[in-house]
Amino acid sequence: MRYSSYRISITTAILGVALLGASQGSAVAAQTQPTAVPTAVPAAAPAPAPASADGAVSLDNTGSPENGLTPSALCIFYTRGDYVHVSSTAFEASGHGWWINGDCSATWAVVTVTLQEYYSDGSWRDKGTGQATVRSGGGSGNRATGRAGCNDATVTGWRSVVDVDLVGLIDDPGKLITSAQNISCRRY
Amino acid sequence: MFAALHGELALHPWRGPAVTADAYSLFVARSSAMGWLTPPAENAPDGLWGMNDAGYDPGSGSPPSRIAWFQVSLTGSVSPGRPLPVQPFLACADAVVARIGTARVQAVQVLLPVQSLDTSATAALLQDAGWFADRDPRSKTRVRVTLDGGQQLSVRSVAPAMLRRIQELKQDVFACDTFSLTDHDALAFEPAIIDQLWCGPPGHKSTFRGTLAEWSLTALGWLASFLADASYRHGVSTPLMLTASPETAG
Repeated sequence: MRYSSYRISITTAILGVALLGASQGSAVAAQTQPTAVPTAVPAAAPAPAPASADGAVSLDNTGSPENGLTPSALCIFYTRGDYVHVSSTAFEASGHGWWINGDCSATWAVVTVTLQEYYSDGSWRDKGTGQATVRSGGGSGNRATGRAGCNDATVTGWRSVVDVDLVGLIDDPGKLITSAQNISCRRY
Repeated sequence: MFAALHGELALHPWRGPAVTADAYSLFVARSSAMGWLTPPAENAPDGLWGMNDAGYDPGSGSPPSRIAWFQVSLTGSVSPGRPLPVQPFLACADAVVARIGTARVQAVQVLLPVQSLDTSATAALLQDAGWFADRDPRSKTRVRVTLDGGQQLSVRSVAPAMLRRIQELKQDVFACDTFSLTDHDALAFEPAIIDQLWCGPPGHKSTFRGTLAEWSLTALGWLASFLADASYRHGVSTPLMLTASPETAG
């Protein structure tokens, strides 16, 4: 029963977003393209690490058939990611993303992992993106990887933004923003 | 932390080309089920580590070839009085490899983030040693364990004091009898990770020899935590690369 109630509350949120005409692209722009400050430089993220613009972290998502958005047609899937880290084999920041199907009819999803580096003006700036069309589960060949080469080993804040778009279904604009990690990688 | 298992792996016959799980997804699933995984989200429930990467590649590298490797980030600081969580880390790796095939592990390499320790964990380690009580006496194995501080000299200078301390403590999991600053495991010269992840390239080493209660990843996890604790107690505050193998493995 709680599961059903949850679906309904999510439905309201999705309909609200749809009626306002918000798009995934505009939502991303608000979070990742802050006002540029010429003197800003990459920096370690302060603790506790700054969260996304609205303080929310999206983990659970909903989808629906392209031919209609009714509460009974909604399905659930989950966006997953790992901690941005320095790769063991190449001097680069790396982060993975995948999805787990709850009860959606989709077989495939386009998973996009965008790595972001923290700057001294408090902004997060995109530094590398990876995308793959994968099945659910995160197993062999079913992950997307974002990569960004390091210029030096100065400790710097990194995080990833994982977006999952179900193939053949409409899904909500929620993205997973992973918690910031200060790692020995700086990219200018 | 990073761990690489070396040796032989015979894949289970039912694992054909259509398998959907790999070392990465199995490690995530297992460590999540055991409560060891910290999800990468603010205010997520605390585990021991966050997932980084993993792979299995039997047959790669010079013998003993690498079977599988695992990389995680410690999340938060190590709890006061607790050792580095190498035992659960290797237990998870062990479970993952067993899911893939039948392994004969001939050597392990573990990156120990000694710099993450704030307190000694000797009391906890002595308690944890109780797991190895009343074992089959025939399981005892002579081992060689190399600690490499990379470009940091400290692990060489503290080796004599570490040996004394290991011998003084009332534990019978690892009976250490000698150390050497010159005779090291060949695998220790070929770390599986890039220099930037620790204080590489390989450099200053100490190699301890002794008898381990059993050659298992459980015992090696305890031993790795134990040596990390001993290093910390004697002032080491930088990452160490541990390489362990049975002496009979050549």
